[in-house]
Amino acid sequence: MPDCAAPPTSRLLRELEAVAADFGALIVGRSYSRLTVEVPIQPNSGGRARDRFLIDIDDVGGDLQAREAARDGAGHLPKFCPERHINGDGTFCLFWSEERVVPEDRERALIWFGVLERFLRNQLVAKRFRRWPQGRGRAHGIAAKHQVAAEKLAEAIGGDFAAAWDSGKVRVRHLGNGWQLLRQGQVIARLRDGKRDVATLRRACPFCPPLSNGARLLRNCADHRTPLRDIILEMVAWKKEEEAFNRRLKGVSCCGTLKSCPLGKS
Amino acid sequence: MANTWKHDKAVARVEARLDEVKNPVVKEFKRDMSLENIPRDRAYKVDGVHVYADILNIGDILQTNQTEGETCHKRTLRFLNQHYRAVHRILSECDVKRVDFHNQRLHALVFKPYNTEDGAEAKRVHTAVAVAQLMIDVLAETGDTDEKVPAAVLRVGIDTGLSLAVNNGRNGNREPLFLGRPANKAAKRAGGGTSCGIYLTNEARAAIGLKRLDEDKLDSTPLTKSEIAASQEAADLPVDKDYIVEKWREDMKANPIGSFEFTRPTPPLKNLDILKLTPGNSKRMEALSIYGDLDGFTKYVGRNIETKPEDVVKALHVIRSELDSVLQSVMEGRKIRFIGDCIHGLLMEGTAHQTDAEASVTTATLCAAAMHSSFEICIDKLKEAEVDVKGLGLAVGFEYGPMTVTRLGMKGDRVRCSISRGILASEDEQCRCDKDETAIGPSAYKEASRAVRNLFEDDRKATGLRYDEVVDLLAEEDDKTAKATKRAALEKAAPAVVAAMDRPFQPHCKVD
Repeated sequence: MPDCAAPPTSRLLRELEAVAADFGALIVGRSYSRLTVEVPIQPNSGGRARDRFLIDIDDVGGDLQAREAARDGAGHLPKFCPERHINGDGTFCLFWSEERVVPEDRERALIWFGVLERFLRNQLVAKRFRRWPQGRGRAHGIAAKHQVAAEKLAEAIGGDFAAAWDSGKVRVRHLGNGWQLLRQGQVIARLRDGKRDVATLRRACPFCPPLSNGARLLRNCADHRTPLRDIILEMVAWKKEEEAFNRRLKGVSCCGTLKSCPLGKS
Repeated sequence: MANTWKHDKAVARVEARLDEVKNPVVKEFKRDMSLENIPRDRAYKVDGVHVYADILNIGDILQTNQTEGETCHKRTLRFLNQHYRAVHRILSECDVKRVDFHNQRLHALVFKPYNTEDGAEAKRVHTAVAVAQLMIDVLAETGDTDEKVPAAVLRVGIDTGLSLAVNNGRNGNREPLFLGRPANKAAKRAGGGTSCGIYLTNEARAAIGLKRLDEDKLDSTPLTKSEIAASQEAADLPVDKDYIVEKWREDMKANPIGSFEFTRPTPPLKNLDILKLTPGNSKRMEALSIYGDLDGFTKYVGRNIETKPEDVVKALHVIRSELDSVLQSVMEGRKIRFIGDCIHGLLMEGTAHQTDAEASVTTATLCAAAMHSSFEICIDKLKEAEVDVKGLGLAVGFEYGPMTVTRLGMKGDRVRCSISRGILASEDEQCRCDKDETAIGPSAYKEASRAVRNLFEDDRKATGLRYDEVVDLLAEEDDKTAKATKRAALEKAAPAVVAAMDRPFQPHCKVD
């Protein structure tokens, strides 16, 4: 049992301890490299928090790991659920590594703790609606890298395409001898397997407004020709990496708490 | 507008309502009693015949134009107004109580002669049949070709038996509300098909010596001409069709309906004073129509009406008061009426000039979730008070579109009316729900934010909506109204949580 009298020596944990009260959280245990915190989820309907999580936050060489502190087997959360962003060892994956926030000062500690609270709040949402909020999570494993790259390309393309992306209405599918890019169910570009350019370059650019003398052709569109190809490649890589991630989990039991999960039913 | 439902306030309201009916009085209804202005902690067991008459062609009137514009609504309201006046004349001449005219659906009660007389029930059923046929005959002549108002086509449902009469929960209106199998079954027969005629339940058939039918034949077997003639002879009504039509024409001449004029109400709708509305002062706007119905209530009343009617009074008062509070006090909508154990209301966000469709749909979604959350509190508190609540659930449906609100009928006895395609559709949406379900209509779905659309499954239904989690989910998926609601709810209690709302949130999973 951690010694509650001794303050932690970890600087990162001290910063988190200093902001815990801003979230109504209570420190119930501390040691050299661990804080145990009771985190209340303040309900939108007011009054006292009806749900509280007991969380262990460990400082592992400067890498903060949070997990539910299971006491006598009671807990809110499944042991492992990729869709709920709970890793195989029960730790929470609060950030993609390249977007990680390190609570080195008060401002960043508030951000870190805010993410933890929001993560736990969304666990209650997932429990009730049996799904994770849409658009709130990185793709699994290294697929996240391709997802982020595709997001940046969509943002750079802008306009209706970026709006469709934000609404989750852009996807790729493999058909015949290549990949199709679809926006709101309509095919807007194709990339044949093994080719370096979209097919065909004689088509109108799907992102440019029409010119007075007709549509701008893709082959003449310096703004979008390459991004269009790149976004398809990134989305394909994203899809493939996620499929590979799911294959590596074959045989692992699904926790059964969500409606749909690549692990399937146990 | 950020309207936040508060758990502790809901608990306080429910406890206060329960206290108001801690010792309800339930009496057998007798000759010297009145069914008007029933106090909220009182109920009467009434042995009577319930008549429901549906005007079948209301849907046709609403669909005469492709666009549901002002002309369509004016014609529909004029249609209803003319027929309401004719029905008013019939019921008052035949000493039958009008319970309510809920848009295209009339509910009336025959409760005389009293059971102190021999053969009272049979006489009541015969009277109900004769009055139903009189309505059918009269309304076939109370159209107006000049104003393009067609005759009304009626389908009537009739049942007999014991029901509970309670306060109807509406300020300024004296009529009672009836709960129990006969009111429910009569309504089901009236709504059980698209063919006109008079349809009796087996209880009503047995009362006048007609043979029982299989349940699945009741909605397809109207009374025959000879059966109706037998009832007309037995009832011996004091008036006939020609008399009523003549009196109706005199009414129309002396008190012409006048034109319907629409203005837009200024939100919030909770401030709309329905008692001031007339045909010349009617309201019309794009809004949400919402129906919340107690699933399983008819069986519940049937189970308790003899042995524990006090439980029915308590449960109904507590639950419907709380649903009313959620709709009006919390969400700032306007309750139109209770129809038995069902609440109908309108919600709107926007300005005096324009409705914000997306925000209105989100508010309706939050309202539905708050209703379900409040209902849960009601059930818990009623159980604590040892009131039977077994089998009760809540089903909610809503739809968006142009809506109307006005009052129709005879001056001094006007009835509120809120009719449109969207209102009929919202009732259909609620009807396709089981307990703890919520359904969204197709027009509302189309106007909804992506987050609200995600909430409902492919069949446009959602199960288990509760306020806290719905606000969190919709806010997380960037619904503007939900985010404002969450901010308003948490800015004092948890400002750090509010600050975190605007920061990036993209958790990951890396471990195999």
